[in-house]
Amino acid sequence: MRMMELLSNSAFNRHMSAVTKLIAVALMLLVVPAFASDYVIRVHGMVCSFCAQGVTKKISKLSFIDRSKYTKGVKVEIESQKVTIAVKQDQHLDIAALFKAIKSGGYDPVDVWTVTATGEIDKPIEYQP
Amino acid sequence: MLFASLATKAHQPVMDMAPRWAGGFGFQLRQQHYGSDDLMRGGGSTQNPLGIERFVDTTWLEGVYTFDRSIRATIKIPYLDQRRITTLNGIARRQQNRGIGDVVLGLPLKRYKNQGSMTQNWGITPSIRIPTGSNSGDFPLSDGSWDVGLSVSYAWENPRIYQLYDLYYWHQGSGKRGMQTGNSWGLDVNVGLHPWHDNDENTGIFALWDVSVHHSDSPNAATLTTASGGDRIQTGPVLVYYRDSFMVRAEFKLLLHERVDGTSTSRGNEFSVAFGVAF
Repeated sequence: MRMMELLSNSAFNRHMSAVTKLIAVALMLLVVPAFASDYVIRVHGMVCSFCAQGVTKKISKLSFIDRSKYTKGVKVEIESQKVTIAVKQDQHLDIAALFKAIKSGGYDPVDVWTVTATGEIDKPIEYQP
Repeated sequence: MLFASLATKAHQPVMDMAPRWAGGFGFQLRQQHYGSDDLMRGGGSTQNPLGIERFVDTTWLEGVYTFDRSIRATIKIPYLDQRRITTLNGIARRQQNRGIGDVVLGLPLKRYKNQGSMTQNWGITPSIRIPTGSNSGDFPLSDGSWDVGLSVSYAWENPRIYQLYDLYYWHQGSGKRGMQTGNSWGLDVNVGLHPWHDNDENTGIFALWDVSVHHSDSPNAATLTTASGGDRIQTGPVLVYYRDSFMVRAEFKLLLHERVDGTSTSRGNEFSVAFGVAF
């Protein structure tokens, strides 16, 4: 979103050539991947709407969650036991706080995975509770 | 999941398993109806020339607070509207009464196990029924006794299947004016499907089937409430629609088998509808 705002800014357009813009875009993609702020957590025990509600309620209160995405920053898929969260661009994921919030919601977190730019689940993050 | 009139089952946390989150609370309003003009003697119908009948409508206001998923507190406040035609010295007599009934407090304790997409729990729920209902008049709302209940339950659920088994027992204390209602026990089984859930809208339905077995010891002759002794088996569908933290629920219980002690009106079929919300 920030990248698009920058590209559409008229002052930016006036002072940069097409080649410079391309280089700038490539650099931005390297430094801030579009979906770098999303993570997927496997959570055991979620089976219905009230489960999703409890998990969402607790996670969305964490300060690093970007509440502008999904439902208050959280998307729950009960069949696959997946919880996708959006983390604010300028904040770090606090896994200990995240796991504590999920447990407080009544469920059991298993592990956390990064998400690629295309939204695919990528790599697990090492974490020992 | 299901309830019976004054003999409210001990086990039921309001809105089933919700809210499971620590610090969560919720309310449920439930309208229940049962009654019949079928007069029974033992296990069969008998002639009813005087038109003896009994109907009870109860509005339950129920609340729950979740300390954490293993400890909850529940309260159930009934508002009764009961009417019957009974006999006094061989003459039919119409009686009616309405008002707040006996409040039930419960402490559901649960041990959960989550594994993959399955969640199961064992529960034990001690309950107490407080005689807040009026025990005066010729058709009182309460027998005036303090009663204690205990239930043991097991529930197993995944995103597609739900099942609950619950065994409960109520011990009736001595009432006012010499009234003594009989102790009761029962078994509730709920099994069914969770055929549809939309993750994006966080909404879905449950379609369950309920089987309830209930036994009550006979009340003594001084008992003037709706209480009666005997056994019954009820069964029927339960449909639940939910969205986020809001739930609507409807259930019908067909009276499959009934045996009454002495002569008494049948309980009849039962219907209830409820809506609840959790915060």
